Amino acid sequence: MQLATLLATNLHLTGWVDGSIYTGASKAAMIPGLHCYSCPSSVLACPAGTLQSILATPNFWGMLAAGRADAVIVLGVVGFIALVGLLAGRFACGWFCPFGLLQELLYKIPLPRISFQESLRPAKYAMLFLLVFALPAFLRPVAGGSGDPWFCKAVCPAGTILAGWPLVAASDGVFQLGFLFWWKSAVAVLILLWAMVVERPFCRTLCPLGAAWGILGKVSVFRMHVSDACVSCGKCATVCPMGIEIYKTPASAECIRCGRCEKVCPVNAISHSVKG
Amino acid sequence: MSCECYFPFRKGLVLKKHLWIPLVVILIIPVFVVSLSHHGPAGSSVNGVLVTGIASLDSILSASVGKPVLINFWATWCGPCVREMPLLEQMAAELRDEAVFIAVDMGDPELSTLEFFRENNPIGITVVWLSSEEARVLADRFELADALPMTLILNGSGEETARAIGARSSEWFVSAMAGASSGSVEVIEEETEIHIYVVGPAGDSAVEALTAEAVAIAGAEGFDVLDPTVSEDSITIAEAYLPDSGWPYAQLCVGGACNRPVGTPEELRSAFESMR
Repeated sequence: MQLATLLATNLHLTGWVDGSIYTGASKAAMIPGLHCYSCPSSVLACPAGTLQSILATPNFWGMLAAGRADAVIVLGVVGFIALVGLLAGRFACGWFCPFGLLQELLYKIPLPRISFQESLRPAKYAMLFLLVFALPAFLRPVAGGSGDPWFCKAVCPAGTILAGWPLVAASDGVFQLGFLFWWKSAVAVLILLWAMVVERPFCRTLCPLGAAWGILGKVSVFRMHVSDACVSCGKCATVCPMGIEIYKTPASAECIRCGRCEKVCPVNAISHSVKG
Repeated sequence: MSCECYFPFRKGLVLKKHLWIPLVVILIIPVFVVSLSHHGPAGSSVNGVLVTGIASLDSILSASVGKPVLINFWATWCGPCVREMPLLEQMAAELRDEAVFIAVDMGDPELSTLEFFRENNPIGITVVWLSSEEARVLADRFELADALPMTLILNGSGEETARAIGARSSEWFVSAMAGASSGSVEVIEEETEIHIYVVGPAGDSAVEALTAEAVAIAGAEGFDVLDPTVSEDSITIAEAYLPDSGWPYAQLCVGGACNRPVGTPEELRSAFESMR
């Protein structure tokens, strides 16, 4: 399904040839996953990027208070993110997100694995509240001017890999490669390398959408269950791409609803359900 | 004493439990690097008087007999005008009892646009807003060019002693005001360097059409194409005080003066012809 989503949301393939960005009507809609608006083939917009761009408009709060459409539209973006999360938590991470797919493919490379530091996980909440929300909404480098989409600008490896690098390559030297380009390239390379030895490290550690959907997933309609039949054998934990022990925390904010744990449970104690 | 209570060990333990904190600190480095590299112009912190209509302007001029008057014609969409404004405010403060400074908004058809602008960019000197019709009447009366900013200096008798098309330095204003006081007339030679800003998303057909016309008018070196969806370009747009909405558009500037933003190649050509 991830591959199908990748193909369906990247129909503007000529963008990779001429280095252009699709700007058609479908760009007003969002993909339930991290996929850069500026990716040459993308026909949808990234929810995190769209949210930051709106928050970063000059005098955003004044325009919102005045009811101006270009600010009020932020409610639609927040509503989309909330809807996806309330329906199925991080389901989109496991089934739709192109960057999740890329990390899974990298992890298939036969290399020695390294352990994951669990204390890194809260960083994604800082990414969400600081870089996606607070700084774009309140920090203005030029008084009265625009803010910046700081997660896109300082961190997002999906944007670097699928938009920054291809657009720079197609620009024939027109783009100036400054500090941010090299900074983000370094971040992206480190995350790609990390994804070869730890499964989905970006999802676990830095993804702001995963953070939002994880919080909402605690009360989502679609969720996982572990019955009393569980014998705590731990097999589910060995196949979990997010490295969680679902038999201990069925409502974990980290669960991406991929369903692998259900398949390996020897006593069929793990299931999913849709709340009525 | 157990090893957990021994300070160096405990310190390491605390850090290991909160590895996300140093990770976030590292990832927000670009926020500081980029934000500290941008500085906005110093301006007034409090708005002065705002009046509307030619009658109000005439009242101010009548009340100013005996003092030199500087009338600055501007608009919120005019980058050179906005950049020049802090300089005028500074001079107005220094010559508070000796001269009168008036900023006449000639280019914003809606008063709300000016009011919105002043909320974020307070203007300490008196501002007069004119409707489009009144702006045309005043342009005929003072024989104003179709470009902003434009500055007129009147002596104590209401006679014009100097005028400038385009933004000027503090030395020019000091010299012109001294000329107004002494009664001499200064002739200003207009600069003729053309520059065109094309603002809109990359790949947009209207942007491409405006860019083609910009090349025809200003040559390969005489234009910039800025994509407001790209963060670096949005900063450039803010720093140049180009309009941050209504794109795609093109704005033609000759020397230090700019024409109003236009949306079609035909309008751009027309603006060029009018400024010639």
